[in-house]
Amino acid sequence: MKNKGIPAALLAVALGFVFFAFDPSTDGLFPKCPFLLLTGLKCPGCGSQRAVHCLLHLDFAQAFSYNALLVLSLPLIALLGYAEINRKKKPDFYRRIHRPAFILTYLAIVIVWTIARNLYDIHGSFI
Amino acid sequence: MEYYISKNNDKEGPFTLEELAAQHITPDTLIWTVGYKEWKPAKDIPELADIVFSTPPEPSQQPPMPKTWLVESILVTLFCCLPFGIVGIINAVKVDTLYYGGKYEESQYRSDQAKKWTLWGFFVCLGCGLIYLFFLFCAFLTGFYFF
Repeated sequence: MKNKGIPAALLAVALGFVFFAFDPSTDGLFPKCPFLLLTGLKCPGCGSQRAVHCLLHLDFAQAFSYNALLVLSLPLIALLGYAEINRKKKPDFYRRIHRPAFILTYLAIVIVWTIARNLYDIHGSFI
Repeated sequence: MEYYISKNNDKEGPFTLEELAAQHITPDTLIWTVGYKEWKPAKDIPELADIVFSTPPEPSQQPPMPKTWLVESILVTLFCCLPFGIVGIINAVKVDTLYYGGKYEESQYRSDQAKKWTLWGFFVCLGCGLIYLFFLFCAFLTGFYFF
């Protein structure tokens, strides 16, 4: 665990710097989503690069408009990440937050949101 | 006073009270002694209370929950732009459901599946990123920077 932690932290810092310094919405440096290029449809992760750039500049409103799911998932990711790191030490806590109903709810939100954002793009509204 | 024990439909004994203490009596072990019409569970016999409750309870057989890979799956879904993460999340649900159903081995199997899909998603993403960087680098070298 500790051996994996150091390169992961270095990668996170390096990526954090790149996403802080450059704006993916104006800079052509960043890769476009291959799923979007192939299908013309947005996947759950579209807008994440722009959203991360905004988050690093503490612009939560703009980040929310790029990828609302990402912003809303942040507390959840923090909680799950904490449970993951302490899985051996606190197995009860891990078990308590890994409820099937809880995960299925999140999965349903991801699916509904993915469909909704594509419908919105096609029609320009949710109607 | 001498006692008999019924274990797996076999009669064992007779035992004195001291010998009975060595027989791992649980509250539901059936006991018979002179004067009883039928076998009685040990918990209903007052003079056995000391023996019955000095037997420690069976330790819980529940192993810790296998890793669900849920947080990794969510990260792959949000950042790697591939449906692999969704498969990872579905497997995470199965790990949980099987675990709560007491099917620990199947739960572990699902955990391994979740790991596989999540890592595939991550490495495909990483691979694409590296290929992209390589092309970008080549474009810079040839002066063909078209952005």
